[in-house]
Amino acid sequence: MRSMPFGGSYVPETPSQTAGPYVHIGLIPKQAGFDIFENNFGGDIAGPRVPGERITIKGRVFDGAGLATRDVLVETWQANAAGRYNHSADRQQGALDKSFRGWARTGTDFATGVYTIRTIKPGAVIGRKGRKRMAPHINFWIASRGINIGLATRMYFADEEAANAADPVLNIIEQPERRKTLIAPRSERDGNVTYTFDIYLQGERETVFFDA
Amino acid sequence: MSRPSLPKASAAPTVLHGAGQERGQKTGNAEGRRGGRHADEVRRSTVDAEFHQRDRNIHPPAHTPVYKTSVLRSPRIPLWSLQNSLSEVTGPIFSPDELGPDDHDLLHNYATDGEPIGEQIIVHGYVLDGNGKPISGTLVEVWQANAGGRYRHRNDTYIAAIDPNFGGCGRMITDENGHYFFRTIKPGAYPFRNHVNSWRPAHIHFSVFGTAFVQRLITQMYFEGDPLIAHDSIIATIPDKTAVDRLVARLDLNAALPLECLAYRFDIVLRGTRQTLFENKLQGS
Repeated sequence: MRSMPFGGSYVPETPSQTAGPYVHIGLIPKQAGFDIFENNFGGDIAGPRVPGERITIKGRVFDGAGLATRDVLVETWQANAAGRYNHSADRQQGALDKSFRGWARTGTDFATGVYTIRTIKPGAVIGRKGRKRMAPHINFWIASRGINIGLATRMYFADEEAANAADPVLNIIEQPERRKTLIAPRSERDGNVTYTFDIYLQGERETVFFDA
Repeated sequence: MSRPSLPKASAAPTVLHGAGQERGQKTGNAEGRRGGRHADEVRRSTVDAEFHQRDRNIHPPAHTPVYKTSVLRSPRIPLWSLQNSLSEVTGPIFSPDELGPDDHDLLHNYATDGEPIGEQIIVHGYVLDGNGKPISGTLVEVWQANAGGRYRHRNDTYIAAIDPNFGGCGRMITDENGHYFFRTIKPGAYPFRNHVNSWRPAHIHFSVFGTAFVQRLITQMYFEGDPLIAHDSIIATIPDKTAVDRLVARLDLNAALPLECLAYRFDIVLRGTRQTLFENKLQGS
């Protein structure tokens, strides 16, 4: 066993500060209204050769007065269709697809408040300590003006009813009503699959946020 | 491969149970127990990669009336504590070839006919984890106002002029020692709608990733000696004043370029994992 660095003391985390109203400049400059980087990170993340069902996720982020916010940064992190994360800590046997990073970034639209992510539906991922599988889900992280520290939540898929019912994370949420805040309904139109995932920052339908 | 157990008095908080949160959670499931050698490895690797509990006392709480916008944008129900699974201990990795050669040079990455107006500075520092270990190869993104305190953003209508040669954003990937640096101009202070006469001290926004999505952090860096720091409503959301001090970059004369520009030092610490407690390290293996 190695001794702790710095004589056994831990180094405290840097405190968070709000991303502010101009988060777009740094992270999604095209939405701020200008071109600067040649390569931009975005919300359309599955190339044509990535295996998996193509899905679109759309939603809004509501504040406590019921207003759809129009300046929120939305990031997602997910496994591939085989349920494997593109990361060295994932030692599962499912096929790794190096062309699919699994991370998306976008913002709620300045006019409509809607965010849009185009990706593939992830597979089920093994649970903590190798226990039972978690239902397919996408990890969300949002930041904005008025949000002092980024908020983490998960989106689950309404058509995965059996897997959701057995999901070890959904099941630790004490109130069944609150679990529903994480489940996105599915709709199909002209062969395009859309999941709608609205996030409520506070109020009667407040989304479950995690401290993981 | 047996792992030593944590010493009894270890400061490492290993369990995040909140009252009533274990309900319905089993302590050992057949799938994991039965899965054989590979399942054992998966189990061990996720446990090794777990992160120390986030110390919420050093961060601003969600609801901080001193910063008015937070009032309607703050969850009122406590966050649900969640033990780390693969979904938490993994996160996006970026490679240097995704960035352009001038992405970290805010003096030149947008300029077309000359340099931006203002005091040129270097900002540099290390990205570390909570064990003091450098985090190499991680993406650091920055954005800021120009020397007059104006952002290049369609929603910013402050009276200061837009600088045609300044975009106000940059990005870089930490080197093998966790070091990052960029050149820019010192941003100006500006007023914002909070109280009738609220001003933001000069600051640079930082976005950092680490190696796992639970390390994700956005923060702001301030400048040593700025008198507005004591009056800022957004800094005031942080209850721990020693934590505020860690957001203030120090003048670093050793890194300044003589007859050219000053330098500021700003180190960023992300959450640490438990894995560094053990010789059986996961990173890079």
